[in-house]
Amino acid sequence: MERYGRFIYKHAFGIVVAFLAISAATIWIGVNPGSEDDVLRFLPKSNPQVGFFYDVNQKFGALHVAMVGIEAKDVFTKEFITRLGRTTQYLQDEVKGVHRVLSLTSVADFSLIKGKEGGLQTGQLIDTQHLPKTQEGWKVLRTRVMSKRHIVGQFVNRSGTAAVILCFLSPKGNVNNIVQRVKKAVRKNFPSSKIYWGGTPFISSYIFAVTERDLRRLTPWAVAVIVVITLLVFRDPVGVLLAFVATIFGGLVAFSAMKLTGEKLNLVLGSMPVILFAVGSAYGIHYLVRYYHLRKDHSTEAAVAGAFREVGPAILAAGLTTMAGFLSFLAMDVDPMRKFGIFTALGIGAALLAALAVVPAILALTGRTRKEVDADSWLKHAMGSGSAWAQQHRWLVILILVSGGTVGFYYSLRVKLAVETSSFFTKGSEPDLADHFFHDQFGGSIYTQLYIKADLDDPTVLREIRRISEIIEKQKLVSTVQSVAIPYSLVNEAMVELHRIPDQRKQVQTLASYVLSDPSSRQLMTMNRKEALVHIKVTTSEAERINRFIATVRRILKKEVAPFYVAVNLTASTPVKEKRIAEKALAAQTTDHLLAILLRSGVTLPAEARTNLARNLNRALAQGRFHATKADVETVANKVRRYLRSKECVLALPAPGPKGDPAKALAAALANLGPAAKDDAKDDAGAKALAGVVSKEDALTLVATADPYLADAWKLQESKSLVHAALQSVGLTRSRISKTVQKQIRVALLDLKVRRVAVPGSVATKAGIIGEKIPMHVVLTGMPVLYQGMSKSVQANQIKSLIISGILVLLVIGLVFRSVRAALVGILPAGMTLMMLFGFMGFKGLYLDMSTSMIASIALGTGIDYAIHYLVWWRRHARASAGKPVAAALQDASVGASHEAGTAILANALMVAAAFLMLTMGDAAPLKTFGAMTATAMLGAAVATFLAVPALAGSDLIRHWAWVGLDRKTISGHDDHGNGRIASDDGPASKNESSNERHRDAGAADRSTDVTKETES
Amino acid sequence: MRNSPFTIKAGLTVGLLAMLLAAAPAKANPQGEKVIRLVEQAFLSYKDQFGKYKYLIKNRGGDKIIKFTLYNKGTKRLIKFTYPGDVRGQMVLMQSKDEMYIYLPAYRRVRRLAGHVRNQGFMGSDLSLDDMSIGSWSKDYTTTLVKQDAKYWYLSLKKKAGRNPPYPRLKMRVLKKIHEADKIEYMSRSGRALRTQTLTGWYCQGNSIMCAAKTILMIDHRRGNHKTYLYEVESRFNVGISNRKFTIRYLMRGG
Repeated sequence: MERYGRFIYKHAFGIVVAFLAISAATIWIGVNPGSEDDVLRFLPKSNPQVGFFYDVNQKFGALHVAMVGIEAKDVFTKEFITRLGRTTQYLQDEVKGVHRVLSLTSVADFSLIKGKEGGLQTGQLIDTQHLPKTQEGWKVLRTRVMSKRHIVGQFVNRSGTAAVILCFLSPKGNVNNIVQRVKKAVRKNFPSSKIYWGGTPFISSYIFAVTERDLRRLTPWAVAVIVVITLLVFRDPVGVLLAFVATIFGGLVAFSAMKLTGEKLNLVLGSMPVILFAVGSAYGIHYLVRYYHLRKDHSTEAAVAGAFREVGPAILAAGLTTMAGFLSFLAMDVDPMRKFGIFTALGIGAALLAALAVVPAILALTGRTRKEVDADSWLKHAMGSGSAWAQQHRWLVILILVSGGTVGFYYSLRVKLAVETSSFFTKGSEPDLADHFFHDQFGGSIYTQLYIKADLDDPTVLREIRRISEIIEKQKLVSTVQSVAIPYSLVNEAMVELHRIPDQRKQVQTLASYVLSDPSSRQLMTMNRKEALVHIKVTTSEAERINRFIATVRRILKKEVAPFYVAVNLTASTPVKEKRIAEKALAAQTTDHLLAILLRSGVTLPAEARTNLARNLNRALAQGRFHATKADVETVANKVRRYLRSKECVLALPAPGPKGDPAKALAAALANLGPAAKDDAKDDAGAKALAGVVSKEDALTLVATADPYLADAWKLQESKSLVHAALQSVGLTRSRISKTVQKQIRVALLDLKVRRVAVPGSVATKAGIIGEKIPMHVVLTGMPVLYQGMSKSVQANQIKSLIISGILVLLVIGLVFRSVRAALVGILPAGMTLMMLFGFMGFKGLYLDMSTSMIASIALGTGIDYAIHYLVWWRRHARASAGKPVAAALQDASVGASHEAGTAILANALMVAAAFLMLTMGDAAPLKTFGAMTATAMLGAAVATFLAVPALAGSDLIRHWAWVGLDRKTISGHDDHGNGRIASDDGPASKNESSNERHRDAGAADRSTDVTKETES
Repeated sequence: MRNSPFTIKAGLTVGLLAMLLAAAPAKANPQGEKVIRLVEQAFLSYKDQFGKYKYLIKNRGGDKIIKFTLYNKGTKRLIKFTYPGDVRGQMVLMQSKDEMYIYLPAYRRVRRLAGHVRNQGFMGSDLSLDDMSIGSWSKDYTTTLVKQDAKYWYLSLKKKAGRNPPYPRLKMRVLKKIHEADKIEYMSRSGRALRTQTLTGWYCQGNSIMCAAKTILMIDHRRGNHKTYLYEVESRFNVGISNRKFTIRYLMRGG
């Protein structure tokens, strides 16, 4: 190193010019790389669960939904709805980056037209152009809206006092800019309302904005704290400025490299300036202190070179270990973390280079001197005494360290791995308030999803999706479940007035166009109708409860979902055994649907209800007989008549006259034939009923077109006859159930009439049923699952980066000291501190997340610096104590090392801790945790250095160094109790070495000069 | 009264234009109103029209093609879907902008849709059923001639008070020679372009009276510039289409 120092001295001018040129180049390239606010980049996509979640939600556009919650006294007022409509329209049309907007005023809806005309009215759920004008009208509107299951809890809360606007954002735009525009538009239209901002875009934007604001606000303060502490300790403004030149250079290089590679500042890279200042400034200061010390008695050249010789290796090792700590981030599977590691290591490397080249070169050119300040002598003494005590009571210290480490290790195993969303933001913050709002008013804001890959044109698949959804809906923590079965049932209701999944594939295909024309349905099903998502909203955001819920859902899926089904067509030729099995499956499926309807209406049933109801329905299916009553005939006739009088009817029949109503006559004639009438009979009855009113051809046309209505009406009557029996089998009577629910049950029972049934593959195989295979692949995904994946990823990253940084750090120290033992002694203070810190996290029930997982590698790579500097001086003083009794030599080494390196270590630890503590003054929760824990780790590492190194670095270490040739003084006949002495090597080469040693140690071991001289003589 | 340039001449386009109407109290100028009437009159240059069309919907997951046959007569329009299999046989009969019938072969029934026609993309395209309906610009918009050059008139349309077309403002570029709009921008209240329709490949029949575009491109800027192409495969004018085509009975017979 000394040779290198002389080289610097000789080429100082060139070095400074080169430095200036590089600095100018970095500025020319640009040091403002811009910023990026995509929090989704932090997802560890190589983790299978996370990658799957990301891909699926990207496909369904569910990653970019911004949720705006608005409180109101009453949503159903002209003022509120008008504002809501205006806002929705504005967001849709005027805000760039917003794909589509859904709210009460934009979501599509239909209503069946009562009366003669028939058909359906299409439009928006609430048409702002035609709002009610009376109180009564508003009541009707409220009732209509609140009757819609897919609307309540999604767009309006149950009490009608809060509404939600869903904004689907473009994945390509700058999320932060888009959400700011959304916020501005909403605030403008609702100036006095309480507004809540939920969903990934708002949370991303908040985390980014708060972190960026905190970093922007606190970074200058952190830098100022570092500068002030450095000035106070070293009392040399010019020297401090010189030291910071290196740091600034590090920053310039790192930022221009980012600009050059197109990498932008993100949440973690934003903290780089603080880290660079806190960590990078130490190198120059260590060098300066030594330089000043030597400059007192030596020429500039000798001081420049001598400082290199004395502290150069330590500074280099410290820098390299810190870089190793950051480079270990490369092992992580989160891209921004890797980039953070690379660019921060680059910045540290540049700062190190500048500290070891530019600072000495400037000193060489200026020949600067300074009156040495023997600062804080009391502190030096205190540190010296502490180290001496640790050395004297080494077994006690070791016991304390081992105990602390053991306890820390024990509790560190209890560190929670779940991702707790509340740890992302502070209480009372915008996302926290939104979280509470959506939880209280809309049953939660956390969604988990079922991804389903199947043929969605197959009605049996849709019914199975509905069944699984409804089973999950029954679970305690579930607020709502949205599946593609809902829009299909709704559109089917629009088409045939039956809220259910159609029976035939062709019908499903017909409805698909209409279902997919509604943008909100595209979150439930892909355009090619091969993949679907079931959105499950959970009522809690507590990580542990959610994890338990996930486990429950996984159990349900394992039990209820077959990897494939076999289709059984129920026809007259179906073998009896096959038919029975299919009917049993059908009864079970219908049972689950009925139970869900009852549960939704507030009826709770005993556990055995499922079995009883299934058995009963199965029996009904087996009997298969329906006896129509007179009332049934009348009802059917009325329904057919309504069609015949509607505008949808193929022909306009003459109005009722003296001879009666031809429509009524035809309807009655057809209904009187009963549910199993043959076509010929219907034709005859129709022709007879309309004889003399219309031509025979027209009459037959009317019969043919009325036939679907007739068939549906009979099916409904048949299922009506089963309602009583169904209710009875679960211990209920009709009187206990509302008419609406009874109607729902009636429609649900129509499923018993389907002719194609999906039998679970295992059942079919066992029964030897061979038929069309219906594959169905169901995977649980969603935010909670993503969090689980992220937790695993964080844990894996933590382990990987810790192992890598540990190995690299050991390697660097091992090489510098040429001793594994020295490396182990060196790593121990920071390692033990970390162990205790993680133990504290486990004890306090804190979570290991992305921010806390960064601490270990940083603290290890940086905290190790203290031990390196301490060890360097310890070794030097131990060597200088040659000839003394071992105990005295070790004592001297500990005290000497504390005196020499103590102030710098403590000052550095203080300024690093103070700088990181500044980060806790902000609002960004992850930054606060990161700041507090890093500060604690650094202080802990410093204190531990003063205790652990003296306790652990024994005489055998000195002997080892002598063995590897680093030192020429060995311990002869020693033991650790102070017997034996430090002796000099008597070999011929050792004299020269000893002479060199003395030269090297000029000043370094000034406190023990006498001892050295004595030994050498 | 028809208004959509595409419907009348080029087939489906008609509806597109029709819906653009919005009417805020804007000051029209006589030249603008005159030009828009010329454009509307250009659509009345034939008695009926038969055409075959093909939608090409550009999706990230792959393109989707939908084919249909179109019948136009007076204010009525019948669309019969022929491809792919899952929509084949479905028909839409438009009696007026506010009333249409859909025939669902799978259900063997006709459903009447009344009131406001749905304004969402139909079958995943950027064209809605509303786009395909019949409308009138001059009913819903006041028109201003913004500028002109040798080839085009440039019109600005703003919705009239009391009218509620889906788009409050339109920008239209009209070919002077044939009185057809070859570019229409559907805009928000503040003038942000929401969709852009471009008609290309113009050809004329019957002494340049009846003109139509071979291709229509609709870009929905709100959906990340999602594109739908509408290609004319075949088109004939004044072919003598029977009124019976535009009845429910015709629908029930499956066309």
